[in-house]
Amino acid sequence: MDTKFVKALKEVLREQLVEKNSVDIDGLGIFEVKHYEQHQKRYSNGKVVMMPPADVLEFKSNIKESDEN
Amino acid sequence: MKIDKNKLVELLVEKTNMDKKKIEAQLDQLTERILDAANRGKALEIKEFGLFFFDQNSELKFEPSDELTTEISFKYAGMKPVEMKPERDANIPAEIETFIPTDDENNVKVISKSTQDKSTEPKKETPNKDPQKKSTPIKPSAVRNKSLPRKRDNSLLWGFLAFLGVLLIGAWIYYMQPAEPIPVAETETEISPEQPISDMDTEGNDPEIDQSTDDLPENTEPDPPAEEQSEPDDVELEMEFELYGLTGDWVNDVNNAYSIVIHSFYREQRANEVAANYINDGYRTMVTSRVVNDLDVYRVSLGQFESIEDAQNSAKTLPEPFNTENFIQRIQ
Repeated sequence: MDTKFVKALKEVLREQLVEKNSVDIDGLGIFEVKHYEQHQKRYSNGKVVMMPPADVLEFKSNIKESDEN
Repeated sequence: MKIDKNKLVELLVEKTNMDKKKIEAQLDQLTERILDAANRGKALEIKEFGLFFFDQNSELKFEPSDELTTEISFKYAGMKPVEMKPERDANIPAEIETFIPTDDENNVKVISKSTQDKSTEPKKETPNKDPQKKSTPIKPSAVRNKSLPRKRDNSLLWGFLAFLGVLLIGAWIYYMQPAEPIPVAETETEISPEQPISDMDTEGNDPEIDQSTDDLPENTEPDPPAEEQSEPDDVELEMEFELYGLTGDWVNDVNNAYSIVIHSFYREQRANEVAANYINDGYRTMVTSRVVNDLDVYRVSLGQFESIEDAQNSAKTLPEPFNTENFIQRIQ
């Protein structure tokens, strides 16, 4: 595969995802950034903490291993 | 906004100056390689981007690289969980952010002081790859290390409170002794900031003063005497009242407080510039530094609050988008 293409693909995906845009690649899946608000969480030892907010990259795909075999 | 395949191809053509059909062919080839590798039970990694693989449920998954994760969540990078009800003694969780301001600098210098914090603060904060899911238990060694500055700060606070108590007792004795002389009684009524305006009017002996207080708006009248008040006990009381809040000057003696982080910058100068604007707007502002992926990150935070709840409530009063796009960090 063309390294120039791979490099450009990485750059474009990064730029779009940092801008919180979702990217849909046909035949593969959708990349999207989900924002998680600050929230409380209780550990198994009973301690309650405030989890910081985060922007998390998520990937959704309908492709299953059996579909391709 | 959603970028579909056509838009993606457009962007790639623009970026590479390659032919559109070639780009589409490369994209298809990439998809085939990812699926082919995954079907052979292997993962395909695109360096500095991420890993494609089939999970145990035979579903195609993608795990972003650390670099990409940090880049996307840069605003919150390095944040750790904060314990809701931290104990005041030694059991301080390892997750809590540490931040130790020195005591001998005024509000303006607080900004530049953050660089000192950076140099003195151990580089122990590393970003969570997924802060939503991962957390670390308390490490006793870390607890022990972090308790040292806390104890020192508590002693300062207790010393301050003891000093305040002595001043209050002294002031009370001072007021109680000279009961007879009339001039003393007059000055007492004039300078007492705790008395309502109506009391000052009825007890004041000079009718001109009473008229002037009636003419002025109520909001402006009681404040200046309180500020001009030179009695030590009243000054101390006022300082104690303003230990916490969103506005005013940053109080270095406030420990174990919480602050609202609204900006993160790579460049310290930029952070200081932004912080200076907030100081001009009257906010208590602090710049703190953290090390994330071996890079210095400078955070601008507003306010000092006694509890997370207070900080959250004040955060809601900030202008958009900061009323929702913020996080609370603990300061020590």
